[in-house]
Amino acid sequence: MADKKTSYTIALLGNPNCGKTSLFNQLTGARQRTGNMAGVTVTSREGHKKWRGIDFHFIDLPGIYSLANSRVEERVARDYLLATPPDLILNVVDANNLARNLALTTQLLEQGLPIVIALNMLDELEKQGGSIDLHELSLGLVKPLMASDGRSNHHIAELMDLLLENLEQASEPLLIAYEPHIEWAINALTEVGLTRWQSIRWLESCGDGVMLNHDEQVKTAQEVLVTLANRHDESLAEMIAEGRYGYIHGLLHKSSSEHQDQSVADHWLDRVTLNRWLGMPIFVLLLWVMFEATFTLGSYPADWIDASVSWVGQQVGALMPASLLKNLLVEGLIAGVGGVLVFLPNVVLLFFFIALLEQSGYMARAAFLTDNLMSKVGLHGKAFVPLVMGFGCNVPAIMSARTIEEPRARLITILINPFMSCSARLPVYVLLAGIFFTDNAGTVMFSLYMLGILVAFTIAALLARTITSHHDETFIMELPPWRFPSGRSMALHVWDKAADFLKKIGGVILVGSILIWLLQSFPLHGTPWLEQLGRFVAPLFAPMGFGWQETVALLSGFIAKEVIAASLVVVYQTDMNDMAGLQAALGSALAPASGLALMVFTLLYMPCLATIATIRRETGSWRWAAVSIMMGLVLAWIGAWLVYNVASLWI
Amino acid sequence: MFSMTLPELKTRQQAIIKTIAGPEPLRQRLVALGVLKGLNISVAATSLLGNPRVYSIGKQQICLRSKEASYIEVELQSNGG
Repeated sequence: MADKKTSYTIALLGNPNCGKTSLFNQLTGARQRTGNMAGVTVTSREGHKKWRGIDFHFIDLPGIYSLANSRVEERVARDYLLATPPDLILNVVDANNLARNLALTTQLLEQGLPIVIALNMLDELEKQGGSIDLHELSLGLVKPLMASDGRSNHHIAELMDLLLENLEQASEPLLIAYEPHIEWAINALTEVGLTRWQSIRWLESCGDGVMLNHDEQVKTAQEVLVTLANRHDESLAEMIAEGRYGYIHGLLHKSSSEHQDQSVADHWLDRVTLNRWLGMPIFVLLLWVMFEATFTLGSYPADWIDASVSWVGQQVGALMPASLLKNLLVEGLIAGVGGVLVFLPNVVLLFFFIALLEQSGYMARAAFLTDNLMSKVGLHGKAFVPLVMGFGCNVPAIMSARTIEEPRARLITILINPFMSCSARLPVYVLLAGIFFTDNAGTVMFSLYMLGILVAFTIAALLARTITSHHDETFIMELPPWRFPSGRSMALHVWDKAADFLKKIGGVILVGSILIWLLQSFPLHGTPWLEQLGRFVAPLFAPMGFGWQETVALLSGFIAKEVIAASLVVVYQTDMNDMAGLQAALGSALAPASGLALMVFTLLYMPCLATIATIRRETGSWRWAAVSIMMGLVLAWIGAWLVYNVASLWI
Repeated sequence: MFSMTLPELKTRQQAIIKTIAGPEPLRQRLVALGVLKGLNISVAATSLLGNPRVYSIGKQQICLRSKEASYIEVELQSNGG
């Protein structure tokens, strides 16, 4: 057997929050990549491990509760299992909620799929005085089963061996006896050519989960649904679930004793964090601490990186003879890559805190706390966290919108995210507010953040009315138990994100900075293309009182918003260190109202290249990236024009 | 015993789920999450404005808005004092 085939695909499948991803990380280490499943935006991850000469290809499918529901991630898993059946399924099961986790297992077993079961979080259960007889449970399910733990890798060798032994597992579909009317329906459906599991899935999903082949099947299937609907007020899904849980409880009766209550610590944590009056203040405080720590702690390594990059730039500048290549290296490549590298500590810290919020179980609680607020603009609680993260950097914020399952809500959250003023826009505000509104710079900056939030919520409300939702928008969410995040899993997660940031975003920035450098440097004699471009586009910005210099700065800000301040320095021909000179030059060239308009334009206009690339990647289409650009440009122009004209009356 | 819809259940009251109505996708979703007829249910947390709320079913905690919760009919078991 194994000498014929040396590469096997193993799919990890299980309920959300069952510790599946931690186990996946333990199995594959850091050798993994994030990839989109064909045609949909719900992501699955893939990783490799070589074990005793066999190549194991692991796929981490999205966490699901059932194979019969119509949610996107459930469809992804279901279609995956049908279209490209893996050689083996590693079904990850949470020992603390065994009955419900096994409901999914029984669906797999009924379908006759080859599976190995990994029982996670057994230690948590035992701490609370529960127990499971693994041997008995394995016998009952007629499937190999072992205890596992995503937080340590002691058992990984054992688990790999178990997987190895079961690569050619022969499996008989599980037979669960359902209530008589359901059995009658299953019979009717199997007579027209469906298999038993297909019949069951057809019934529990009310006709969604199975493709029917011919008219006779469709006719019979519809008749069956009508007949059963007339006989029962219970839904078919409920009746089938009763059959499943009957089987599961029979199984567990022999093999487990489960404690029915939450642990004392969990109960106490929930009493505080979900308290009707304390919940919100604690949430705001936590966010503030996270925000503050991300930027204060991040600024130290950012300074070091900044210093190292300029040192490298100086060395290259000193060592290389003057040439175009040298300019390209120093002003284009090193400056551009350095500009991105500086934000790595912030990104890493931000992801660390997000991972902490997610893995501890607080994220779901924050979603609960903010749900009411978000429902006012057609979103639900889960959208709040990505928005707050947008203040740091829109790129990780948009990526974090993956936690939102409902496709429309996720799309809206992504599209409004660029209006949350990211940290890259801060230098522009600081520079301009310092010049034009010296006495109340703080107030001006705070108003800009507020304006961003206001625009984001208005656009969300508008989008909610225009984009059709895929299915009824409901906010049903399970609160996961509190968990102490594992160091290894956190480190892997943060490393994964940091590498992602460096590779994908760094590539885009690199190309972009070379492009700007080229425009700035050519033709070698005469007006540079960048200035020509600035003068050409300038009439568009004239109504706000901007000159070609501001136009160029805004255009270059497309690469990254920090570039706006740097471009102003270059085009006004002042030294980077001579801030006073730049302030004087800008102050005399621009009216205060124009300065304010420039800030508003910077706040609202199209997202930076990295953000656009992320929007493209996360929504799976250039269309939404284009929508985001257009929306930003139009709003920025109108906003800046209004601000310029209104402000001209006052100042 | 006294029947009511889930949003009417008060903090510290214990109830048993009697029926689950509503649109088919909602019923399927609740069933998949393990919200089933005959299980004990109580209020675990209430948000600032009273909607949504978190309900305890055994060890599980499920967050529901009033709109979805109103499809669930429960039977009051005790007032919990």
